[in-house]
Amino acid sequence: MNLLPAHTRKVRAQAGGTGASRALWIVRTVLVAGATLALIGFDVRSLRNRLENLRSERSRILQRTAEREALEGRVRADREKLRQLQVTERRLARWDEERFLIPELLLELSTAVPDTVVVEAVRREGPALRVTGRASSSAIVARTLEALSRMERVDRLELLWVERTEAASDPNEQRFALAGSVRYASREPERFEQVEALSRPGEVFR
Amino acid sequence: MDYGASGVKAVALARDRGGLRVLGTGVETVESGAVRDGVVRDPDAVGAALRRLIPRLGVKSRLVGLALGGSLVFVKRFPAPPRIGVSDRGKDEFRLTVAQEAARHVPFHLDSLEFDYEAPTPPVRAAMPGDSTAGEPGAIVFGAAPREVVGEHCRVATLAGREVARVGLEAYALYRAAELTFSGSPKDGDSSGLVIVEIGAGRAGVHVFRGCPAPGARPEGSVRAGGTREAGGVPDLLASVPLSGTVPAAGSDAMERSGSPDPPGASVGGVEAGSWRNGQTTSEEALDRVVAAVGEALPEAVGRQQTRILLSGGGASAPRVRHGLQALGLGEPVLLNPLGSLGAPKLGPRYTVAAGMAYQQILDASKSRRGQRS
Repeated sequence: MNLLPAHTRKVRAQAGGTGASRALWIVRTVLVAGATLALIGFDVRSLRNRLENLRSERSRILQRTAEREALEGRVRADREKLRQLQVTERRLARWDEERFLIPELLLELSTAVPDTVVVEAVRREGPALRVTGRASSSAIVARTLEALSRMERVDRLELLWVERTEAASDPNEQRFALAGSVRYASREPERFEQVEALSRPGEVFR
Repeated sequence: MDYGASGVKAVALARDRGGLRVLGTGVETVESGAVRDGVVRDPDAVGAALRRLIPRLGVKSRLVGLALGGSLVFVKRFPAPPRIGVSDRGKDEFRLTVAQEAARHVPFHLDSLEFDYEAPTPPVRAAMPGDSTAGEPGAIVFGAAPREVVGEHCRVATLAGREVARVGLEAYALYRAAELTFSGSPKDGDSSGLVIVEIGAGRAGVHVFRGCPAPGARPEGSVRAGGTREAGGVPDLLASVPLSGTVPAAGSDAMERSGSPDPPGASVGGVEAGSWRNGQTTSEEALDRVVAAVGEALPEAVGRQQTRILLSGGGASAPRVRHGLQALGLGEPVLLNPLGSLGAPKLGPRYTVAAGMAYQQILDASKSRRGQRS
């Protein structure tokens, strides 16, 4: 006979107080502990795999970082090289500018072409030379081409096109374009303070 | 555990290779009036005593068993109502039926009581010749105590950091103690009845059982032919008569010293401990009332020559009790010494209730392991 309240007895029995319930509790505890240990084992295994993955990822990231640093070093070196090249290029451009001085060229052109030829434009890009102008006739254009071809400064020159000037008062007036190349100046270029070669209307591109 | 007026007593037993072993015993005195007539009046004081006592036992068991006795415990016996079924629902309905039947016998509302019942295992043949109840189909022994009393007992254990697994009746604890006592005795013939007289410092009681524990028996929980019972079975309690306010407030040692100081706080039923120290009149009268109660409690049809009578408690050694009981024609009373067969013969009958409860706990554990109902 047990005067302990029934609900208290049940709670105590469920808590593993006595006998079969205690044995059941032990079995249940062992099962729960086993399941817990298995879960912990799986978790540990999973954690170990994750750890190995993280280590390989870390080494990969370190390798990539090293590669990036190497690439950045190369980029810096290339930038420095580019800067030096740009400096060199600017210096060469300045030299080039000084070697093919337009004023001197224009002076020689104006000397070489006949008086009836109007040089409208002279474009030079490096050694390339392009001349456009007007002449009173096609023969004058041919003479101009021949005269310019004989210049020492001019290496090669050819006639690109010849066409009649429609709006001109002279019906024989022809427009023409010449293209060719000029030689480098063999001496150190001199500075010209003033150019008076183009006494006639025309446009000069530098 | 046994909360007595003279102090808190504890016995710790353990199963050991098929037998029992005493792990520890102890008694701790409590303040005067902390326990009166089996009721804990001052849980804090008793709990403090228990806290001092338990470490001395040297056991780690969390669960304890308590025994309730005294005039506030109701024990009624009536014919068992028909059982409805063995399912949980059937058990609940049977419990309800038992409670309804018990309400006719108990002068309190059942809602204010904690109760339980036992269906004693009937002996194979009539235990007591001429007993009218021997042929009945089955009986229910109904036990109840006020909810507050049970709660206070449990609260004391809680204050000491323990949990109560069983609140048993003192009568059943004494029967278990008798089983322990007889387990070490040689077989000397069967007895059809058993009367246990408890004479404690705070309360007394007479408990009459049909059948008697088998001498030299091992705890098996079965019933033997011939009225004797193997240890562990459900005792067939015929009557349990509490005696309040009539008991001498002294331990057996004090009784034998005839005037030596009592355990602290020993006073029961308005009879102060000092009153019998000054002269033996009061205690003698009280003991005479105990003897008279034994005579009244015995069913008339009981064969007195075949009935064993056992004495328990601090006052059990009083010669006046022994002589009075012999005068009733009950034979030579035997002093209960449950721990004597377990290698602790000097502890005497003071630990009877606590030892019986400890043995009951052992039986509960073994029954539960076998899947039986606790």
